Amino acid sequence: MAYLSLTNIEKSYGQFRALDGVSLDMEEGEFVCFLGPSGCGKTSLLRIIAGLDRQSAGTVEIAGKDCSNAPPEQRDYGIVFQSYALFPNMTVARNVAYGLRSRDEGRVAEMLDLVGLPDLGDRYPGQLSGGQQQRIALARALAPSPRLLLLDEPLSALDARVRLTLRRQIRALHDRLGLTTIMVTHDQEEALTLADRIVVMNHGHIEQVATPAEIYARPASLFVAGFVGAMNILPATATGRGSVRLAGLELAGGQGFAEGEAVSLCWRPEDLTIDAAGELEALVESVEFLGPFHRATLRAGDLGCFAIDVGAERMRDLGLSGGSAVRIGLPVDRLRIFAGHPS
Amino acid sequence: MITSFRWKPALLLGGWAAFLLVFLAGPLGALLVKCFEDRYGNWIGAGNFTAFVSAPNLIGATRNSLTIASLTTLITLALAFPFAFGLTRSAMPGKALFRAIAQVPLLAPSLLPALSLVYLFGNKGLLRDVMMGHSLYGPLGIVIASVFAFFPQAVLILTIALSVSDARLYEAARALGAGPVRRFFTITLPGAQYGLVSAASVVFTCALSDFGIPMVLGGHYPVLATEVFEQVVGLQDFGVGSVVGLALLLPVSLALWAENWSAGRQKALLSARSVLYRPTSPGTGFVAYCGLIGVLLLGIVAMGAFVSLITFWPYNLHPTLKNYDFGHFDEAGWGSFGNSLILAAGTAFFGTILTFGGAYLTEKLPGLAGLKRLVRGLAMLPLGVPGMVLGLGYIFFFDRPGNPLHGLYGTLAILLICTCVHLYSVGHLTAATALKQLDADYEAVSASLKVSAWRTFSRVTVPLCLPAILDIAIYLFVTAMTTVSAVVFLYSPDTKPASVAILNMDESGTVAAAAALCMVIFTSSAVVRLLHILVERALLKRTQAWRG
Repeated sequence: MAYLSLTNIEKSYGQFRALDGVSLDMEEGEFVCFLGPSGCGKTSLLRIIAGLDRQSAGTVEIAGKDCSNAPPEQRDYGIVFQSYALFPNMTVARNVAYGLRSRDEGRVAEMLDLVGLPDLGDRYPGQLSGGQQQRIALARALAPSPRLLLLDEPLSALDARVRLTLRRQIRALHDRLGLTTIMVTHDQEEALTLADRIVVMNHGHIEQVATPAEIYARPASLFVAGFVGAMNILPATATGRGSVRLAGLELAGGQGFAEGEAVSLCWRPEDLTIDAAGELEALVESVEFLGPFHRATLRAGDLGCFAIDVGAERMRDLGLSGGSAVRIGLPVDRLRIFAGHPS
Repeated sequence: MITSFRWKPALLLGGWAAFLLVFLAGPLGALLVKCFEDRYGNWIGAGNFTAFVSAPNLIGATRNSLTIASLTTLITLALAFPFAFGLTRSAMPGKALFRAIAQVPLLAPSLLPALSLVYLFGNKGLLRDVMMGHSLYGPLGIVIASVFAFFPQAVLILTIALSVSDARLYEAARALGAGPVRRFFTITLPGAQYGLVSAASVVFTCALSDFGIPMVLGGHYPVLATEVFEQVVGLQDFGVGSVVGLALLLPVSLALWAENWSAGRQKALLSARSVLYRPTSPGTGFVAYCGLIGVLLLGIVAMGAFVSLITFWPYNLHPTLKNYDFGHFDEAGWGSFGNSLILAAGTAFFGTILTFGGAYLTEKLPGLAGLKRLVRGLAMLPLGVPGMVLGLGYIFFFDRPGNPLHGLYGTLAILLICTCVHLYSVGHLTAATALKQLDADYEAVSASLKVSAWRTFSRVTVPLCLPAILDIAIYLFVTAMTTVSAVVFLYSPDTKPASVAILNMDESGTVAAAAALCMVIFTSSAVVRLLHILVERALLKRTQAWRG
């Protein structure tokens, strides 16, 4: 029995369809990220789960209870917004106590401890840093012991270093309290590191629901392939006999595509190799230093540009620079093929 | 399944809509109907309109009104722009003082400058030689008094328009070699143009619909506001009076539409990333200019104070307090001032609750989009309705036999309600602006924490909006204290407010007593204003910890 169950959720604003029949089941204790570009409907979906907006059609079930038409206060969840929404005229302690039935000092102290800010009870939100404010918002949301935690881009207003620590803290809290958590984010790294499962959304529908490793290794659509992680997307044509034609080369793969059908071949930059026996001849256009590895931009005839990652050690051996001619190995086992060309 | 439709918010919002429908739309509808009726309530179609068009004095009054309002607008803007420019774009000393002085005319009824002008430039005036034989009574006097009375509004709007300016535009212009004149015409003026339109339409509206000044200084120069009064109170011709009211309503609505349009534009002008302009020029010239204007503004008030304290201008300058013994000049005596105090305090109290509550319901409640649009629309309507027109509508609506609210007629309550409705828009706008600045997620957080909306309203929303709430209350108090237009049709002998008593005393020739009562209103408004400043300061100090 799923803890949270969404069935055929639709949301329209006049002519615009923000959500187009979204269904999703979540198990208790799961950490799920809604990932997608802005306007994909991920925040709309979260607000519908929270009861802050009403779906145009479809049902929301939380813990076996049909909440489709329930107002927010009749659903059991805590929520944290990007803006924190702390009450500026109340001390941190009063903010945290806001959802408690009585002014329970012990519970407030416990929550402040939990988020690692035990000494800030008497301060006002305006006197705290962004990261501290967000942790207080988290403490306030968790104080009434909700079982479902909703996070609406909670980290995107913070700077990179704070984001990293808070990310770990959120995951640790989730594990420790046995919460079921949904986090909306447009930051794929955040989703990949935090989530048990990622829901990739685009144009109001779900593109793929899978574990981070699965999403990364086996994207289910051209959109997911292009949106999550770096990806080379090369235009090719299917031959209709279980192979594809790419710039004069014929590569195995592409079963099920008809002859002449336009397809896209996808490799991650780290999956391509520089190899004297490689199939594809290319010229190095530029080399970018990225710390532990280099990313080289290559050009191969009418294929256009693509990228390849080269480890630091191998880079020293190869001594690549702009203008070098190389041969590229195209590993068929790492290849993903999708219908159509990227728009 | 848990049901979601919540009755309470729908009922509350419905209550607000009902109030505004009954006390705003109802009277206005009654006025419109009256336009098509004769003296006895028979439907006569366009008869009143033909009467209006064929009456030379009414057409003349329309022309006069438009002339007066246009001239007043031009002169007021020409005087207020350099004043506001000095306050915002130079580092001149004494800004707070000049800002305060510019607001002084707001504390008195518009009758005060009119009366002071009588003593300065009238037939026995101190400076009558300056007039070189021209009469103060007529367009000249009306325009001068109107400029004085509505100068504060222009300065307020222009100061706001000129104070939002992106310093980086000026830096970029300088870097590109533009001199001060070119910067003024390419950056400052375009930046302030919507503020100018706003100020112009507000001053135009005020000058057009003001009733007190032309009553005192009009002489034989009819304007629409006095003609409404003449038709209704003098000739008892309600039908034609309503048509004249309509003639007043149209240009005002047009001006306010322009104001609304430009206010929307002004907002979009500045992005959140703009850098505030910090003036550096010493502004010596501006000190001189603002000083001169300040002396004129204070001089007019001082003249009123002076004549109220002497025995008989210009023959007996012996100081006396007998002008303040109002029982000698008006049957209401000091009672009219008591009525005004009750009216002002009541308007401040109920009006603040009404406007803030209404704005909260329309800004922060979930759903109910149609009802919200209705309340918002009704809330903005009074802006375009001159007080006289509203007051006239109240007569027709509540004096109609068969109206269950007929009992309100002639009571202080109807004065109170009419004043609240007349001033509703400004309160609503101020409240809505303050509420929009609050984080939109407060209500969502509260709902998720299962805290009632009422608790968040009282614990978070109201404390955060307290400065705006005080602003609304003080605006309502001071304006209700000085207003003449709406109440002039609605008072009874027992409920006569001071502003009407001033008008009566001026008409019966006891001008010094009228000036004295003006000064009483002025002083009480000033005291309340000072109290407001003190309370606000204390409040800011107490809440400094979190306002930061």
